[in-house]
Amino acid sequence: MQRHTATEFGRLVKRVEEKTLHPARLNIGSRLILCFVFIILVMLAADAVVLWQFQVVRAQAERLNGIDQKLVTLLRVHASLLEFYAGLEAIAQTQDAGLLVKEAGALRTVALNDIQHAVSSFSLLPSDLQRDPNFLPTIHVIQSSLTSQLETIIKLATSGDWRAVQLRLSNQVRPLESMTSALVEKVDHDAAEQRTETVLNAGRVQRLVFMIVPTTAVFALLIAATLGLAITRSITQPLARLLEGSKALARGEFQHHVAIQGQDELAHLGQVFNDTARRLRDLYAVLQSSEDRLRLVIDTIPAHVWSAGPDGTVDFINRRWLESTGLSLENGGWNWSSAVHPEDLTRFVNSLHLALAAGGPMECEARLRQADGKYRWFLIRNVPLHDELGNIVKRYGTSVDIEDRKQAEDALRQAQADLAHVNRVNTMGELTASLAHEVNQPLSAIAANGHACLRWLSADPPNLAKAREAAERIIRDGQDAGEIVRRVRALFRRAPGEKDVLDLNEVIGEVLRLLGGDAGKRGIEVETDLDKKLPAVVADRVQLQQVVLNLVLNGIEAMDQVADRQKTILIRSAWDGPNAAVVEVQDNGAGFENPERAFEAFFTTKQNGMGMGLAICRSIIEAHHGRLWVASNKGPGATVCFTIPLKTSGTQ
Amino acid sequence: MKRELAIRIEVAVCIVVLSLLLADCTSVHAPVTLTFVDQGWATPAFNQERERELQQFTRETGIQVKLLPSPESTREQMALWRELLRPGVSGPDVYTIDVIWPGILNENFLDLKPYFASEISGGFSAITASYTVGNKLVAVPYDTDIGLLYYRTDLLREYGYREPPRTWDELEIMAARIQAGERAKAKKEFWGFVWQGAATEALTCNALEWQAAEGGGQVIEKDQTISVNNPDAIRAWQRAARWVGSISPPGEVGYKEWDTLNVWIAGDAAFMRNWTLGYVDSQAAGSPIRNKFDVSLLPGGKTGRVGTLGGTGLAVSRFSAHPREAVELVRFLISRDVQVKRSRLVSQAPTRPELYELPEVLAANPRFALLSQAFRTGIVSRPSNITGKKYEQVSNAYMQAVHSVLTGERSAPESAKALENELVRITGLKAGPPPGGSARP
Repeated sequence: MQRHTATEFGRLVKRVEEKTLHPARLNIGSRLILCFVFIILVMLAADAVVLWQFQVVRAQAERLNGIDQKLVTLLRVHASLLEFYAGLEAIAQTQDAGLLVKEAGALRTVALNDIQHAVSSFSLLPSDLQRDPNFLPTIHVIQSSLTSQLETIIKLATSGDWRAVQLRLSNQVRPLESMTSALVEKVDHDAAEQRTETVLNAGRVQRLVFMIVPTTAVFALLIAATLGLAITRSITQPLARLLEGSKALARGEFQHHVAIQGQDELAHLGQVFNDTARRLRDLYAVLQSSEDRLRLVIDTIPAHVWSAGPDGTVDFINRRWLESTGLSLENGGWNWSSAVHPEDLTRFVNSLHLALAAGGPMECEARLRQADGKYRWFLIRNVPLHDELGNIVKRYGTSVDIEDRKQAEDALRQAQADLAHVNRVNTMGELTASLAHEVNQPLSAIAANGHACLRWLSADPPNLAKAREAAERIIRDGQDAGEIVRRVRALFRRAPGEKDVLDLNEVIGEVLRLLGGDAGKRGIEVETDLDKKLPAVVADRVQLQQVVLNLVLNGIEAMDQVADRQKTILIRSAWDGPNAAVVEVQDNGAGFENPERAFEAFFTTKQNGMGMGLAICRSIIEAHHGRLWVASNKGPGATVCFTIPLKTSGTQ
Repeated sequence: MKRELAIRIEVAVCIVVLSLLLADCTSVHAPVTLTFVDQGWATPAFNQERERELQQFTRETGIQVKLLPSPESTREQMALWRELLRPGVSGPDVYTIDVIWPGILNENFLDLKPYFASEISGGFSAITASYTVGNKLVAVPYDTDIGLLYYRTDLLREYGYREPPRTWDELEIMAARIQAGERAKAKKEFWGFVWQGAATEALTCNALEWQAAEGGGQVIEKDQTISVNNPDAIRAWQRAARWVGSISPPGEVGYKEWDTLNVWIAGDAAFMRNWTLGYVDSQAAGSPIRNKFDVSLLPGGKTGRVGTLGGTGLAVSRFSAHPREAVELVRFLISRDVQVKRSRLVSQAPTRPELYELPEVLAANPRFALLSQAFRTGIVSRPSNITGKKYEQVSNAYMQAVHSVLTGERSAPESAKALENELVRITGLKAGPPPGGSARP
């Protein structure tokens, strides 16, 4: 039987375990709380039963106490009644009606008080003890009987019938005693029964408590163990699955899927894990396709793309490079220097080393040999990639084919040179009269001195000294004329842009000397404000002369229409910052209507102008790394300014 | 779903364990116990017999019965009954009620007519009517009683009388003569006639017997006429007043049934007016007058010999928790067997007419033939059903009036006049001459 019960219990526990082992519908927290609540409930229930049983015993004890009280109360009533009867009988013996009337009242009061006391203490007893239906009615009967008996006796006594009194006392009053006696007997009997019952109850409660306490302990322990095992298992199993999944993920097996049971936190974790794995898988795929695309872009863009380590060692080159240079990775593809034109190689390498040393970007134009063996110009750039600490971790570079641009630039330069020449020639034309005048003066002087020389020679005696002086003047004037011609030639010589170290003021002076006559003829006052301390500049003398000449000529022409004031042209040279000089040519002529358009090619306000002057001037100045602009005057006319870098120790 | 199952299993385990733990604590329902309060005279012989009856009932039905004692006089009993008959008080289930109470306590009891139709149909109709209020049978007759004359056969014989007196006047003469004779034998305490002169319900019964026998009416007639102030009644009262101190002890005005019986059983009276139950104690072993007395109808007057109807009926409390069992107890107590046995053992008069013809009943109580006749023709009923709840007041006024005449406080005509006025005031009925009685004085 016991074995059977044990198996039954085992089966039950197993079933409970099955139900509670996978209570994954509940959160782990709730599961634990439920478990504890259940155990506590079991304990509480057992405690409640024990308490209840103690309460039962206590109630029994109280009841016993109540019964004893009842018995005592009853005995008191009984004794009081006995006293009352005895008293009455004693008085009746005296046959003194007056005494009876006097004493009976007192006796009755005492007895009734006792009875009343009994009734009130009875009413304080537990209600189930009051349920004895005999008690109160009996007391009532005795109470009312006492009164009526006493009344009857007094009446009999006052009418002098003492015999009737005595008969009544013995026949009717005395028997009342038996009423209380019966009640006392009955209550005593009840009390004995109750006592026995109470003792039995107490014993039963004791047995029960001895049974409940260990049973509860064992039961609670069993439940705790079962539920604890179940809950632990319900946590560790999913955790093991998750661990396995994590390991798989670490190995890169994104397709690994963790089996999920229930709805608890671990199930959620499993779900999150699966979601994460799937997303990682998707991300990986996206990354791969993106990389493929990027590689395709890099390989197909019309530029060479490469990357190098911080020391400049190339670690990546795109396919375009290989295709373009005809090299292959196996066959010197990495050896980029073999593709650089030998003439450019040194410059390129220097530039590269400089950039590497400075840690900055590099830009260089160089010719690279193409697959067909021809060289083409490329713009080669690379920039460093810094980490957070500023260290260079990588260099990325591109080389873009600029052969076409190079050719266009050359063509442009040629065109500009041609155009400048044309401009010069054109200017020459404009200067012809002035030049003729310049040349004519020494020529006239030569002719006059020649005549004088001849006269001195033909004089008698020939004045040789005077002749010599004349001859010397002829030579000087000839030289002057030659100089003028030489200067003009020099001005219009189509010389390549050889840059020399020049005194800017000297260049200005040369131009002014050339224009002096013309200006004077036009009634123009030429003023200069030249800073004698200006250092030298490095420039093409002819081109610089052309610029100054053009600007002064423009000023002179701008003042053609001026009649109401003195035509003045002011040429000023000054420092423009520490590294440059500025030259201003100021007139008080008509000024520019539209200063910005002044630099457009073929824009002119002159009737016979080409409109190329200022445009050419600007291109010349910009070729010298300077700037040329038009500034407004405070008064009438315009000022055209240009800057040109000074020759400093650092510049070439 | 599974979770619910799991919880259910857990709960089931708990319940099983707890119920195992508590199995020891369950109790068994106690059998029904009825409480019975009886106003009958608690003579030892009577009590013994009733105890036996109740034990028999318990044996037959399994229903326990607890018996409550009761006070002596009806007034005190009434007070106690009222005390017990309240809602919420675990009062008795079965009560005996005095024949004069149905009108007063009517509302506190169940209508027993549905349960005892056959029992009452064969009963004395006058008695049954006394327990019926309106159409409700408040109680079934249990102990039927009537005022009787007890007389000393030995003394009658000694003084030359062959039979008991037929009229009150005869009784007066016989009593006086025997008393004088006995007093002469140095029996100073000897009296001719003892009765109930204390101002209790018993006096109402006595006085009613006197005046009704003389044609002085029944206090309040069935036609609701108040009939106390008439020459016949006055004369009857005056005669009784004359007895006090002459043939009856001076303390007679304080005598109740017990005092009367005390004197009678002590052998110090020639005649006694009392109820049927006095017989048992008089005839008890050790009684000085055992076999020296007999019972007869009360003496009469102009209109005949009447005794006041007394006795009790069994009623079931409206507040009883076990009305079905209570009815069972009532049925048992009025059963033929119990009545026959009671008549034999305690001389209780049966309530059924046919029982008076049984040889076994008559053999034990030869005088029951007399009772049977009295119940049919010699009954005078107190006006309890006519006055209903006011009966107590009426009876009280009546007994006080008669008592004042007995004690000599007032003259009989004066008292009768005052009583008439008071009864008119109490009941609102009209006063008039008794049917067939003499004109008013």
